[in-house]
Amino acid sequence: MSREGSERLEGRYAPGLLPRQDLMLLGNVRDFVEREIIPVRKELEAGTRGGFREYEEMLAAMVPLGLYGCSLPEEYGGGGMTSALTLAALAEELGRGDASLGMAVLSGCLALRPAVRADNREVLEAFSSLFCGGDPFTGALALYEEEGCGDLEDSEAYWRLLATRARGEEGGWVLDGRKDRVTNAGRAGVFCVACREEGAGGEEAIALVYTGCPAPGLRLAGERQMAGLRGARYGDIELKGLKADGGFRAAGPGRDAELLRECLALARLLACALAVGTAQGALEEALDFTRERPAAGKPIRQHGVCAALLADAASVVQAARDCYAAAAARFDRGGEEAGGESRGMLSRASLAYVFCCRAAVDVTNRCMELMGSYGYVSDYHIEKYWRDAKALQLSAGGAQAARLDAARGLYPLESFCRNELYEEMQRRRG
Amino acid sequence: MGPEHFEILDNRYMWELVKPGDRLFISMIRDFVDREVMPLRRELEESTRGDFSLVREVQLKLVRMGFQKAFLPPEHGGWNLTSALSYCLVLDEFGRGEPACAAALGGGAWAMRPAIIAGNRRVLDDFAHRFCGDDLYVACFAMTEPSGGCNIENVDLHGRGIHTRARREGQEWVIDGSKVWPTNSGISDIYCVVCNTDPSRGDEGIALIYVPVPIEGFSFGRFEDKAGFRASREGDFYFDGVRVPLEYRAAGPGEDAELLHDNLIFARLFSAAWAVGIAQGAFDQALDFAWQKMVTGRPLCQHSQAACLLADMAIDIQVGRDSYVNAAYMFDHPETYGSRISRQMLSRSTLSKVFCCDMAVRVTNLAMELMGGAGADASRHVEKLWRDNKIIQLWEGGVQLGKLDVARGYYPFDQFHPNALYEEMRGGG
Repeated sequence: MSREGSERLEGRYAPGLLPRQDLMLLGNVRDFVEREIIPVRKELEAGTRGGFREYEEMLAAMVPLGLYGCSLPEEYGGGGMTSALTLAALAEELGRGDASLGMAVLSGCLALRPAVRADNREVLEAFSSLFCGGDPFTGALALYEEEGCGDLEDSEAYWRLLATRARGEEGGWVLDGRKDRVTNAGRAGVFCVACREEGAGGEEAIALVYTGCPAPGLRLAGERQMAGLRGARYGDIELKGLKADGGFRAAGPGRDAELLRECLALARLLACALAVGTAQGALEEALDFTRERPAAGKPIRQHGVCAALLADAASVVQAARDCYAAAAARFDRGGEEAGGESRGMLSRASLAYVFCCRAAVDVTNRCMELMGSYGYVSDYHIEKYWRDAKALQLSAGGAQAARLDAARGLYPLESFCRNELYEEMQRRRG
Repeated sequence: MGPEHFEILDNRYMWELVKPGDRLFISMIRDFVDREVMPLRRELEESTRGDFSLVREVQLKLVRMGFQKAFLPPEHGGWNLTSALSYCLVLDEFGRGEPACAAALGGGAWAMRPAIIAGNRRVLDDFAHRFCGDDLYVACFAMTEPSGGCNIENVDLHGRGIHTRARREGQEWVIDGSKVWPTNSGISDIYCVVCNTDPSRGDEGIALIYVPVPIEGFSFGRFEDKAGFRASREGDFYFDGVRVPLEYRAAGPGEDAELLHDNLIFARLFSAAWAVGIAQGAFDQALDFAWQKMVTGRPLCQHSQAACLLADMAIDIQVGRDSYVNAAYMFDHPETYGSRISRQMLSRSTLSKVFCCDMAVRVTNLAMELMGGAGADASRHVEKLWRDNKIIQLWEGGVQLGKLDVARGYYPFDQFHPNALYEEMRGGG
């Protein structure tokens, strides 16, 4: 039985665009979320203060759903599900239950995405069987660093600022550097590391290099305590003389930068969908709470002001869902202008990301306000949705950096736009 | 070298509005927050997941500074720090650091306020000296009930929302009922309980009765597990035939209702100030971060996008502070601005609360966004301020009820405005 405010799957995600078998998978995921995840949300998070046992057990219980390898090619035993729209809908369903679980699963899909797109057989052969096996296995995209690197789309600035280096040596790569706040850092079996190839310049210097974990030279340099998404096991990783196989670079000079751009666009689309899932979950909780609880003689939601708030929340959630679904459909359709690797697509995905995360932050806040102090205690889950929504807004480069990427779709925004007045002022000072 | 915002820091509000003695006290608190609280912020919250020993340690230092007794009249050992404005400015200072650790001591001033205003000698003689010792003596203003907090605060209900009953038996009050959510639940030594002596008497039935614990018939349920504001404790507790002397009622029929309204307006004011302090703390952290963080070759704060975000935050905070400072000053001067419990004052103070709480939600959110991923990282403190702040917006009826109270200042808003169509529709069935 579905809850109030939770409509049937067929009508929810871009009706008509999702293939039947994808809808079946989504149906299974929704059932699992209702039956297995929602009842234990509070316990899952309570466990993050000591060892993450509850989360890891839940991830093991999710193996039969076939999510870990769902985006890998069928010839490697995967589900062959490469549609961004399906992955995003999957993210929303998981986000409605627990966004951390969505992050845990989908970060693996994201990490392998460049290898799948480049059809890198060495990487796929090395890791596919693990993703598609009987144990939970996931990966991580190691992108961000302490010094900047929020400005990924400005590839000129990006490759200069990338401090993690890859040195070609005897048919292999040697990696040195440190990555900050990597999702799944505490549990990933494979990392896709964004590095700068020594001796190269420009976009061609950007290299995506894979490494299994554990590996000599790869160290978890501490898990981060975050406001939300606590089960996503954010952490820092340190790479010291880490040796990676020569074939473990995703594609090659130039192509890696395109794949990274695609990956970032997809990451933002999935973060959108997770955020909409948290907003949807919060809306359902608020509908439930206000059904019978009285204020001034009648149920809270029978007051006009509260009905208006619920309506606002519902309309924002639906608009946000339509927004990311349309962007994801465009991503899937591909082509020169629209494809995942194009700059236009990153702008479109960033636009959706900024809007959906703001919507989720706003909706979770409003739903909490409808519940008064009850919204603030762990028994009612709203406060968890609220923290997760905020953490999602700060993931994937953060909504402020994403705004710049959205602007780049409108005109060529340059971080180092020529400024003669600036140069003159520097000369005078100098 | 850090950001040069010191002149503004020293001139956050008009000093002329604050009495010289109170100014001294406020600067003492500011120094205390900087010295004793700031370095321990994260540890203080960690301590709330264990035995609260570190929270208690900081609170004991405040007791020794005189914070616990400051609100009492001089003849009872206090410093007569009863001005709402000064109390607000103190909580503004705490907001920057660890907002919730001030709740245990600040609760005393709030819960004992009705007895002080009413000049209830028996209550003050029996309990005032307990606040003047070197140990914690905690008080709780017990208002909200399981059936809903907004029903108690709703002035249209004239006490009908209050289900905790007090009945007179000889020279005693006998209290039955339950409360949820009051700040300092379960850790208090004395409770000021909002009761009803007779629901048919409207406001005349409202009674504020002091109950020292432990006492027969009083029991405590469990502490709430909250998203933030964890150094303050909330929970549910029960009165089952609890007996106290008749004199423990703050004043009497009618007067107690006024004292309740007075205290509610007072709380709206200090809630606004607390939220402003939290927003200030988040702004300070964000400014430091933006000063140090390099983005494409220059500090983040030198990018126009970041500068405008910082300016938006500063504008919001300053307007919020000006708003509560003015309202609190008006509250403190009824000879000029009229009764403290007028609809206008309720509206004016609630206006500041609604604005400041919404503002602090915006500012803490922006501060996190400015910091990107670091904003969600506990080691940067902003995420904690963001969590702590939200409860202030939710408590005391929340923003939605607050807006209704704001409207009351402009016209007689009436939730039970007569509705003949309603009568006809329901009556016919």
